[in-house]
Formats: sequence, C-alpha cells, structure tokens
Amino acid sequence: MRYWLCLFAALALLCLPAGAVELPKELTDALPSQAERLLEGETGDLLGGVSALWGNLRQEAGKILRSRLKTAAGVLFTVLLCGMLGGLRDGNGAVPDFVPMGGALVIAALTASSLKNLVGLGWEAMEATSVFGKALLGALAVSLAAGGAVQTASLQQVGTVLFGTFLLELIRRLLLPLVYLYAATVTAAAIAPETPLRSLAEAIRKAVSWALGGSLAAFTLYLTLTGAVSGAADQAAVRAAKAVLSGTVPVVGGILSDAAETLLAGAGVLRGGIGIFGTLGVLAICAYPFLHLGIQYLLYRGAGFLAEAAGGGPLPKLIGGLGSAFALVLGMTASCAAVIIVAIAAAMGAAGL
Amino acid sequence: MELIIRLVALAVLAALLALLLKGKQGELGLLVALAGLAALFLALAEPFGELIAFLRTLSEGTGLDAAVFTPLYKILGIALVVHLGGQLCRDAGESALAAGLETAGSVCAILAALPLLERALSLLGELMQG
Repeated sequence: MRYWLCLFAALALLCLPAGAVELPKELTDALPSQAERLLEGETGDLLGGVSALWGNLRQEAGKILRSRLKTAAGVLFTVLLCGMLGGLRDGNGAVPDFVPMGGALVIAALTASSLKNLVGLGWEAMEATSVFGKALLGALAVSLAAGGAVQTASLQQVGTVLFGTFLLELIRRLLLPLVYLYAATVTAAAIAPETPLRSLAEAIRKAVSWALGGSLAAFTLYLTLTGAVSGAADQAAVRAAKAVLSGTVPVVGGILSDAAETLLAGAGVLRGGIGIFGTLGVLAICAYPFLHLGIQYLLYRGAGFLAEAAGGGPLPKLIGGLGSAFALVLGMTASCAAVIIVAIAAAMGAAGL
Repeated sequence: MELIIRLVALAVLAALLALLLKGKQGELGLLVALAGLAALFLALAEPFGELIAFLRTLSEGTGLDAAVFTPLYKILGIALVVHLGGQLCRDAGESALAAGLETAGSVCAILAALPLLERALSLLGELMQG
C-alpha cells in the first residue's frame, strides 16, 4: 500500500511545470535595440549570433563603403590638383609653398566633418558598451556567487566596473581631445613641413596608443591576479562546505552535498549563457562603429599610398596621419569592448568549483 | 598633337626674336617674349577650358561641396601666374622684383585660403567643445 502511495505521489509531482534557466530581464533589456536587430534573436548560441551579425554587416558594408568613398575621392582629387602643378618649379626645384598649404587645408576641411561624425559614433558605442557592461557584470557576479565563487565575483565585478568607468573618463577627458590635437598638428605639419610639428604629432599618437595599451594590460593583470588568489580561496571554501555538509548532516548529508554540487553546476550553465549573451551583445553594439571607422581608416591608407605614388610632398603624410586619427578612435572603441569581453572570459575561467 | 607642335613653333620663334633683339634693344626683346607668352595662353584658352570643365565634372563626381575646392583653384591660379611673372622678371634681370612678386603671391594665396582656414578652425573648435 505504502509502495503504491509513494508511486502515485511521484507521478503527481511529474505533472508540475518545470522552469529552465533564463537570462535576467534587466540584462536583456540593457541591450540596445539596434544591437538586438543585428543579432536577429540569436543570443543563445555564439556561432549562430556571430553568423547573424556577420550576415547583417556584410549587407551594410557596401553602403558604408560608398558613403565613405566620397571623402576619400575628394582627398585624392585635391592631391591630383596640387600634383598638376608639379611642372612648376622655382630655382630650387620645388612647387610654391602655398600650393601644398592650400591642398592641406582642403584635405583638413574635408576630413574634419567625417572625423566629428565618426568620433561621435565611436563615443556612442563606448557609452552603450559601458551601460550594457554594468548590467552584464551584475548578472555575471550573481551567477558566479551562486556557483560558489563569492570572493572572485565581488573582486572582478568591482574591479571591472571601476576600470571601465576610469577608461571612459580617460578617453573623454584626455584621449579624444588628444586625437583632435593630433589631427590639427598633422595638418599644421603639412602646411609648415620645415617645423618640428611632425615629431610632435607622432609623439601625441604614441602617447594615446600607449595609454590605451597600458590601461588594458594593467586591467588584464589585475583580473589574472585576483582570479588566481580569490579562485583558490573560493575553491577551498566550497570544498570545506561540502565536507561539513556531508559529515555533519546524518544519513542524507551525502545526498545534500551532491544536490548542492548540482546547483553549482546549474549556476555554471547560467553563467555560460550570460557570457555568450554578453559577448554577442558587446560585438553587436560595436559592430557599426568598427565597420565605419575601419573602412574610413583603410580608405585613407589607400589614398595616402596613391598620393605617394602620384607625387610625394607633404600631402601623402597628411592623409596617412589623418587615417591614423581614425585608427586611434577605433582603438578606443575596441578597448572599451575588450574590457567587458576580458571580464567575461575571466568569469568563465573562474571554474573548477 | 597638332596644337603642341604649333605652340612649340610659336615659342621657339618668339625666343629667337627676343634673342635677336636682346643684343640691340633689350627692352624690345622682353616685350617680344611677353607677346609670345600671351599668344601661347590665347592658343591654350580652349583646351584649358576643357580641362577646367573636366575637373569640375570630377569634383561634382565626388559628391562633395564644390565651394571647398574654389579656394584651391584660386591658389593654383595664383601659383601659375606668380611663377610666370617671376620668370619674366628674372629674364629682365630684376631678381628682386621676382622675389617680391613671389612674396606677394604667397600673401594672396593665404588670403584666398582664408575661407578654408576659417572653416577648419571652426570645425576644430566644435570638435574641442565635444
């Protein structure tokens, strides 16, 4: 009789609804709608999401290339006009100084509005990444803590949020103004090539690159060290808790310990889902700015190469320098994305619990 | 091809006449050179017009505001005129005048480039303000 009652109770329990692991609503709401459209709902599978993103970007690449080509064509046209006067030589064999000056001013005027638009695009992506990153890091920290890595969760979340805020402020207050200064200095160097402005421009470019690279290296080092130290502590704490549970609670201690391990594994699955969603989200947010900035940078490099082949002088160096300005903004956007992706990778790596 | 042969013939003829007159009346030689130069440019007027039309088509093809290129056309014109004027002054033995003309050309070119400079400075100001 008892046997049939237990069987009947078990069958009744099987009729209850079961819930699967879902991403937190605050996290899915934090993803911008444009990024969501690019991913076409493929947020659960990394390969599927990347494939959807790639497909959408490929369709947009042609339109972006055609719109960016106008500025590059204008730049090349300016070089052509200035080069047409290559036949004019004074006693020293040089074109009158004011011809490259005029060419440099035209190229700067053509590039300035593109630079303003693309810096704005890059900055919007950096801010959107930061906002999304804060929601993502919160969800990751909760899942990490649920998986037993309490110390790792708090250290990584606090460190990443602090560093992300620091990087954004560094870019806004120092690095972006330096990019504008670099563009202005490169233009002035083309107008007055005999001055040391070219060296100054190069120094500014290197300073910005080092600031970005150094910041990312310091952040990665911080995550590696905290992960190693707190990971060991968390592992020891979880093992101790399992031992206490199985040793202290009589009869069912071992079963409870196994059930707790299953819960930790479940938290790990959730963490994996959050990590995939977070990675895809960051890639989708930064996709358009990457494409615009990357295409503009390549077009200017190509124009600089053609201008060099057409006749040399200060204009090809100016075009190359302005292309580098776009590359610096691309680097800043990529750095903000890299902070979040490195934090996700560190959270995924805090395993073995 | 026919045009360039005619222009070469005209230039060589003017140079020979100028050389002949230089020994006797230097100032007439210079006038002949100036006349030859004027005739050359008159002959080039039509091809020059075609070239300008082609450049205008190219600049329209870029889709950009044509007003950006106008100061550059003026600067190129100034460079051409100053170069020729300077050479004429040197031919007349007046190097100081040639140097003065080149300085004047630089000043005029900077004046022609002022709209570009103002535009670049205002864009830079907007960028710095963020």
